[in-house]
Amino acid sequence: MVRFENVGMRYGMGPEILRDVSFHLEPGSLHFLTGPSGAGKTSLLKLMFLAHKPSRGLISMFGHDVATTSRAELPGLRRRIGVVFQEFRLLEHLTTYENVALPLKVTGRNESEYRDDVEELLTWVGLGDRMQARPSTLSGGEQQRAAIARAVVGRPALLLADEPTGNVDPEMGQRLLRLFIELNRLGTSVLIATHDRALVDASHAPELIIQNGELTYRD
Amino acid sequence: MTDADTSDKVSLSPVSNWMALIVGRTPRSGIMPPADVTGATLVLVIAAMSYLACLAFGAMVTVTRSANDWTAQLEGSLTIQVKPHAEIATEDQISAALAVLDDVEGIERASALSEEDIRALLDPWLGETTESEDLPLPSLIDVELSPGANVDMSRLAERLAAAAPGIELDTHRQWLSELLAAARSAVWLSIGILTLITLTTVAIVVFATRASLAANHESVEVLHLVGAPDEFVANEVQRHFLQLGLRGGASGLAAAILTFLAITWLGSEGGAFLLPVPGLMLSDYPWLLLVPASVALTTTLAARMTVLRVLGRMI
Ligand SMILES: Nc1ncnc2c1ncn2[C@@H]1O[C@H](COP(=O)(O)OP(=O)(O)OP(=O)(O)O)[C@@H](O)[C@H]1O
Ligand SMILES: [Mg+2]
Repeated sequence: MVRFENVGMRYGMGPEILRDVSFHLEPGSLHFLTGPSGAGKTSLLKLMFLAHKPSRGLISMFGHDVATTSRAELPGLRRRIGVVFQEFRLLEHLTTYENVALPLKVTGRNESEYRDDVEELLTWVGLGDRMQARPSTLSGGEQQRAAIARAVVGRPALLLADEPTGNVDPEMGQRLLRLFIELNRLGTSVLIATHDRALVDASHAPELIIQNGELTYRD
Repeated sequence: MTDADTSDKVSLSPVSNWMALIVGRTPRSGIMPPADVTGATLVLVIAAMSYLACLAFGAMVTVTRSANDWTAQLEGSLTIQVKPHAEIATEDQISAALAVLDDVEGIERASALSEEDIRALLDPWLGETTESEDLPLPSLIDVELSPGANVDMSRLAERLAAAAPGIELDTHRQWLSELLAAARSAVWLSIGILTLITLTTVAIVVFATRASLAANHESVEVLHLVGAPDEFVANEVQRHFLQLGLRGGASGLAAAILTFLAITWLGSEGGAFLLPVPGLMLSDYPWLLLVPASVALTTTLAARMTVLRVLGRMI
């Protein structure tokens, strides 16, 4: 469902951040993405959620070659991908509820169809009583949970989580990991970029490691 | 979400709600951030544009209607001027002219104006003329044609001239065609001004939309990343600009209506303008609604096209 072949990536005219990256993710798989800070984990995820184009190589998402994907096809592909951004990227002028409901709203669905689902999910991640709060009034961990809720609310086929447990206590971290594992069991492919060794060790999932721009695979 | 949004606030009174509509403090309803200062400025500019458009449009309506009125009034009528002549008494000139007119097919009515009538006509131009009783005034015969009559004017003029010296036929044609030409120029001028106002409004809205997209870059990008098509973003932005357009258009219209009422009022007082300005008639006012409607439409479309163009150029 995700296939990279000899992918290189750079920002503008800068140096190559990623070199000759090749891997593929099977449907229903769960992987971790690790590597030192600044190694290029977020950059790799950007390629996957179609926010950046590779400078060379082939990327195929759900069987679509991203190089030949038209702009009109992007929304359809992106709706199949849920992203937890490292810096959350919640919209400040919307409430927590509205932020989390956003992926459903942009599909043009009626709010009455999804309101209950969104509220249930928010309750599940412990934000049941913060639904009408603005993101800036949430704690870091609460924002993180809101970001996770927004990523999974559309039941994506692929979930990309960038440091999803960076701002929560270990207990909440384990709870969120269980959410990801649960989603994975329901068929979602999951890729979690993290520094959190405890998270990796707790799950026995295979690991993609980026170091010096190169990617290695560890089972 | 909006109900819960306002649930912890004291509900606004109808008056301040109405004020909010004009000033732009309506509760946020869209995905795009509320447009605070830029929005207020834009509403002001759109209001000014809409005001000017209403004036130009009102002038066009007034001039067109006046031209039609003049045409209708003058086409069915003739005036015969009877100039005082040394060899013949005015009464004889008049009866000779009336005799000719009696003979012509298609004339409904012909009557000489009394001296008082003529003085009343001249008063506005010469001032009170009571002291100049001895000033020789031309006599006038007012002729009304039957509707649809086809009178040979040049032949009539010849016959009148032959009947007695000092008789002249005035068909108003010359005057009317000059008046109509002036009215046509005024209408074209109004159309030119309206075009200019439209182009200016489009330019301002395009600029404001670009600024708004740039300022809300993060929101737009997040919308895209969660799977929003360009259409969705365009709809959000255009709804916002529709609101601004309606607000600006309505304020401009309100100001223009006050202006027209003032003109009508001053006009009826008399002497405010060189010509008696009829102002707008009650039946003209509904036409003015076209202005805010087209302003809002222009604003919305310009915003939509701009969003789709700008986004289309992104990766
Ligand atoms: N927008 C950008 N423009 C230019 N360079 C960038 C940009 N974003 C990241 N970089 C550079 O690319 C490299 C990889 O950054 P990236 O954010 O992918 O690292 P990361 O592995 O996610 O790090 P961290 O664990 O700290 O989040 C870094 O050297 C960074 O400076
Ligand atoms: Mg990162």
